[in-house]
Amino acid sequence: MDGEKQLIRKLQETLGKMELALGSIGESIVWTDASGTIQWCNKSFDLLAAKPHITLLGKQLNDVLPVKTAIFPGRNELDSSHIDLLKEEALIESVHEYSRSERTAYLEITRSRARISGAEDLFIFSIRDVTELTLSQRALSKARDNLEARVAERTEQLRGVTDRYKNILFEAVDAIITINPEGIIGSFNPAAERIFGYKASDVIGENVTMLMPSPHSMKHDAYIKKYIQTGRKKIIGIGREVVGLRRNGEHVPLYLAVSEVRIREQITFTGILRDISDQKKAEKALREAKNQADAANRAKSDFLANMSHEIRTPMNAVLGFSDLLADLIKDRKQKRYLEAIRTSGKGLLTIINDILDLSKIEAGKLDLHYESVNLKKLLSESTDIFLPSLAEKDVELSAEVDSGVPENLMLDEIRLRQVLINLIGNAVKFTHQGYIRLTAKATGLDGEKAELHIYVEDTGSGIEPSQQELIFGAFDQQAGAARNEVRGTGLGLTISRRLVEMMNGRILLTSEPGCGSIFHVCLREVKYSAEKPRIKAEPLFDSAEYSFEPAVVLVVDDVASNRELIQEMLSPTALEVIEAENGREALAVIRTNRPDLVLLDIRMPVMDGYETQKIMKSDDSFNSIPVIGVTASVVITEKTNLDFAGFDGFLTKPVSRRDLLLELRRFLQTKEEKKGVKDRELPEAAARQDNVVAKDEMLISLEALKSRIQQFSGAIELDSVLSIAGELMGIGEKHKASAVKQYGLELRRAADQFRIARVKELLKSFSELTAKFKE
Amino acid sequence: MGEGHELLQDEKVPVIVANKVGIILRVNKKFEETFDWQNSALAGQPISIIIPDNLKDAHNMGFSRFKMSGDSTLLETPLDLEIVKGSGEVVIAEHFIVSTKERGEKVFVASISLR
Repeated sequence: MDGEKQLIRKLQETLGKMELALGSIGESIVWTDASGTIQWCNKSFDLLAAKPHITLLGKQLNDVLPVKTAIFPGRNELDSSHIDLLKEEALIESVHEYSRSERTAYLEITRSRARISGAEDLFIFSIRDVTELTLSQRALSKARDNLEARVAERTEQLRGVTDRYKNILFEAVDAIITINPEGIIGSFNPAAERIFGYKASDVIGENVTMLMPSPHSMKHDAYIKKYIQTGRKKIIGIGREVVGLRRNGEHVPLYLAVSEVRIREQITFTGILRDISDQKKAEKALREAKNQADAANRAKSDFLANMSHEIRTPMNAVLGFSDLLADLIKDRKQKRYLEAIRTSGKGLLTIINDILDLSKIEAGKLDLHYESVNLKKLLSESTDIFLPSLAEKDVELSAEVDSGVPENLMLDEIRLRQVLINLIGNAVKFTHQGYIRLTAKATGLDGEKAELHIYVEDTGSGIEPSQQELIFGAFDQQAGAARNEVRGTGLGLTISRRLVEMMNGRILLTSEPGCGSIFHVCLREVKYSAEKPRIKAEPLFDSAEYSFEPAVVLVVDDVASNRELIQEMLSPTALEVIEAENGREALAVIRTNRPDLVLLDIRMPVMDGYETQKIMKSDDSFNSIPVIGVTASVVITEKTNLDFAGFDGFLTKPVSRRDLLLELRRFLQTKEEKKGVKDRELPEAAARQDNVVAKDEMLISLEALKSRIQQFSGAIELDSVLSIAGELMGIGEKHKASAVKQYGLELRRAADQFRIARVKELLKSFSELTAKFKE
Repeated sequence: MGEGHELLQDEKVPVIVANKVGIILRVNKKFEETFDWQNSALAGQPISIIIPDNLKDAHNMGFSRFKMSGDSTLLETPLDLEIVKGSGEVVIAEHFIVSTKERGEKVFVASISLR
């Protein structure tokens, strides 16, 4: 009995331990009989069911734990599932949704079956709250589904983008080629296939140098390596022209732009190439057209130069010898004949100049030179020329400038004078009584520029409306005009119109037969000039003063008559003239006869003036000899060329005696210069004899000029000297001080002839001059 | 746990007394009459004789646990539990179980009243 009691006690202890153990675990444990009646449950189950332990015992598990799907079929249900349930032995795991206190929980219920020998089977349920896990799993699943949906969407988008870019690559007109840092081609679009003649499959995987002719192909790999090492860009990000190599061996000009793309340290270079063959062809055609145009232009220039030379050379002889004859012929009849020759020659020269002018304008070779011009003076000078020719006519000629016109304007004086002389000349031709009026007005003044209007109005015969446009045409003259009214080439108005158009203006005509005409020259945007016009002091020409000291002058010209003409012009002087036919001969003469000055024609066969002069200047023995270029060219560039070539001076054919002597005067000594001292004394001697008017006032003016003279230190500004000389002559005139006037005259002469030493000498002596008047 | 709970002497309600190991010591007259049991048939038997089969395991487990830990879920709480009558019929009755001492020994006393 004791042994049994002990056994029972031990069993009870074990049971107790088991109960405690099972009661302490987190999982709920329940066992039921075959009908689902709870036989036992642990503490966790009590808590799960939220009921006291004792009330759960003997209850139906389904009733106690109302999960959505029954854990255990009902006792009375004898359906197949119940029977199957009874038959199963394996561990079954399932999750059941469980609602409690408005909260949904998820329970993982594991069911197993235990066979008890000699008793009913037991069904053991272990129940775990997997709510958190289930919700997490569901959230994860949802997130995964969401992610998958987004990935799918994104993939679709990327596919769309990829397709778009593929289309761009595919449809691009330009070749698009990608390579890796080793130069291996990664992609090659259809345009590249067309340009290079390769299929993409032929080139992908190959080195891009296969598309380049040598030597570029050999350098390419090195370029890439250097760039990757140094980062120094030679072509990346910069476009430039290259040459490609087609499959058939042809070279093709291309424009290449290269860019670099780095994606996670992977570098890809993309080259976009455009076939510029057509562009190159067009450039070549353009270059050829330009060359042709340049050649045509040069031909025009050459023609003009030739024409000028061919025409002026004989004219030089005609006019030059006529001038010489004029001094020699005393017989009145012969003088009359000679005058006719001279007049005709000058007329012919005018015609030639007109034709050459028009040719220049047509060829675009005529340049305008703007300088400060006093319009009043210009108009006055232009009308003065015609006063003698109107002496016998009952025609009043006048010029008036409106007070609103700025005093000085930037104009091409020579060409504007040419236009005015043409218009006034025509008016003089066609007006026999009444007046010819020249007026000038300005409109649109804004302080910087203005519109200038010059009117030439006459009371002449007028022009038929049908004729008015025609007369501006080249070689067209006014039909029906009397014979003696018509002279000249008929180019005057054409040239005038062209010149005015070049000056940004136009000529307008208002005329009626019998009522006279008004030619209106309108110049747009004529700029004001802040400077006074340069005083172009007319050098006083008194041939008696040009008594040269003996010297040797070499005349070089291929035309004998030109050489003879110079000889004759200089024969009254003490200058000895020696001759040469061309540059080569001239150099030989220079070596043996060392002249004091050379008059060098420019256009000569064998050796021209430029070459001759260049050789002279490069030789130390001869480079001090002054060389004056004699040119028949009317083109301004010729004169500029002479300047640049280092000529000391120039003369234009036909050469007048006056111009020749003036030019020689600059370089050869005269008897007056040799005297030297006497020049200086002259003004002082005169000062003692003057009966000066308003002497004090004069002295004040002279003092003012003295301070200006004292500002010259070192460099002499001849323009300023000429201005001062002019003022001195004016002061002398005003105050009846001939010494001052003479001083001014002498100063002007010296400045005009570029005799700097003489200018300085005179300026130094100015104080002495003024001091004499204070005595 | 005091000595000699009043239930030990109560004859008006059915009372059953068991020792500390779960052996029935005695039942009173009222118990015999109510539940068709003779005292002689019950005394000396394990208390599980009046417990329905489907609750026996729970009782054994719970009782063993109580003995190990002293932790009870039944004492001094009115509980409606099933009980097996002498006839074998299972009925629901209100149980009120206390633990006390009788002559220095631990005993369990339960009043069990039919509903």
